[in-house]
Amino acid sequence: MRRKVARILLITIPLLALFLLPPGSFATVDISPLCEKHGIKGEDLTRLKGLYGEVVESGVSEEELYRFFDDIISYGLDCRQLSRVLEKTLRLKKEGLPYRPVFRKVREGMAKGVPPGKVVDVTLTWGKLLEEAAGVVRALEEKGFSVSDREGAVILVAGYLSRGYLPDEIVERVVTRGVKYAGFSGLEAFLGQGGQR
Amino acid sequence: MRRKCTRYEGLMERYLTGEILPDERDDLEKHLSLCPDCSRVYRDISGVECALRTFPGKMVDPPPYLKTRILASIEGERKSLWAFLTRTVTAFAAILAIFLIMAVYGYLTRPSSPPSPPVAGEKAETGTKEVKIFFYFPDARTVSITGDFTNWDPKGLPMKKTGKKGLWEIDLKVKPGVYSYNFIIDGRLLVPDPQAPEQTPDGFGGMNSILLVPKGDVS
Amino acid sequence: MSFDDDVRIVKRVRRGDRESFALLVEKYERPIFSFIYHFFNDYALAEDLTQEVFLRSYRFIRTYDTKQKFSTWLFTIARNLCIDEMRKREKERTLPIDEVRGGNIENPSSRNPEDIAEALSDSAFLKRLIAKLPERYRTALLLFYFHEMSYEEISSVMGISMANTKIILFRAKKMLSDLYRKGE
Repeated sequence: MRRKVARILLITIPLLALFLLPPGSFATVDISPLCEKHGIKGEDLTRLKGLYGEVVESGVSEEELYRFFDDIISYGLDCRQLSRVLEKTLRLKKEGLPYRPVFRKVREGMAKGVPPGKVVDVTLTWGKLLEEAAGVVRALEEKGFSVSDREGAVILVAGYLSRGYLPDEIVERVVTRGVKYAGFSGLEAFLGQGGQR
Repeated sequence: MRRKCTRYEGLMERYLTGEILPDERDDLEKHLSLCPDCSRVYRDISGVECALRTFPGKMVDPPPYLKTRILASIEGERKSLWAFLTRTVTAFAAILAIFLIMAVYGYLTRPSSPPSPPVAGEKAETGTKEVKIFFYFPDARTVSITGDFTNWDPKGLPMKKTGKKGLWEIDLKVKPGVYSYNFIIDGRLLVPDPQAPEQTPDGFGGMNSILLVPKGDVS
Repeated sequence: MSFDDDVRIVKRVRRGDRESFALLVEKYERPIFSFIYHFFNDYALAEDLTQEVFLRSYRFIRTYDTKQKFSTWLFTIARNLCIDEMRKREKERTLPIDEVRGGNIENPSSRNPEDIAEALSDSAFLKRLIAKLPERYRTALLLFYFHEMSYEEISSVMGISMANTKIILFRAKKMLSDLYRKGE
């Protein structure tokens, strides 16, 4: 009898979990062994797995994400840092913005031997700049400029923002002076002069 | 100024610096009122003095990447000093690790430039473009390039030696986009390409060079 | 005291703290670059030589006498490099004396050629004139008027007496006015 109950439970619990747990549990590859290997367990692990699953759910390729996750956890990012990177990825993806620049920024920091905490801080700042830059590109589109390569334009604008330009300032300069003469070299390769002006 | 006026030159100088003795001052002032040549010289020099004091561009901003370049060359210096101990005096000559990039060729920032760029060729079937990058660094045993296009692979893509001494090159096949990159010297030191058309702070305290690869000539 | 700070930083660099050297670069990059730029009136060359100045200062940091001001020492290196570069250039192409002395500088048409101060307020013109001065006059002039150095500091950079510094400064101004008059 007991065995029977146990067997039923064994089948039903995962089934129930499938419906009740956050979408995170849909990830096909389990990251638990990887996390445990790096000392992440218990509640932390559950939360991380949830987040990871959500990122997969949002449409980031699982293969790509797993490889990235493996690399960064091996580099020494702790649970909190991993969560922050995943959250940022999720947010960008949900907003329809390129998330790969975030992955690349993390890898860049790793290649440059930067400590994990700093890697994450810089990456999140970069992520924020990307969001702001997307706003700038959108604003320019609304003003009638055509975008030939959105990701390129966003990354380029994020670069200008990192140099201290303000979003409004960029829009204003491009609108009043035209893409070519706004003083943002390279932008004209990704942004066309629209109907305005 | 006539020859006999030469001695007033010294007086004028001390007059201008306020170090003249009272007697000398009287002498000079009297002379200036009498000698039109000397008085003109005096006026000219005061004019020059004034122009120099009010010159607007006394300080000139160096290019933003110069600091990185300097620090990178010092890094190179440390290596060379070590090499100096183990190898020969010639290492010193090699310390002149002045970065020169020949080009990230061509039309990259200008889609409207004349047709058929010299180096970059489009491969329509794969949607990638070929870009040739040069880097001048004589003091390196190996140079590779890494960046967004290699996912910042710590090893990077090895660059080849060209015929010219100290000049390295690579052909990259990349999709249109914006890429940050660095060179890796001797598998260890990451430096930006100081002559790249665009530079941006990497956020980690260094600089990245920017490679722009626009999509084909879509207007 | 910024003087003390420099010495403290230098001591750290000597102990092998390379990061501290970045502070010195940060602080003196602009003045050194400006000096070399005005010395040759050549931006690209100023880049290369500024780099070389810092490279040398790093290499020879142990020879710096901490009783001296660090900036003075750095400018001494910069000046020496400028002189080397100048000799190299002179060897490569010997200019006719007249051109060295500034015979053919086109003078911007000024309303009142008598008023030298007004004519020289065209800074591009003045810059070209300065770059034509013989080395020691140019150096002294730049250090005094552009870098606000004292006679004492200049005499230390140039290795001459204070009295000589004053004479050179005076002559430099005289030469500038002569160059101007000649180019008229």
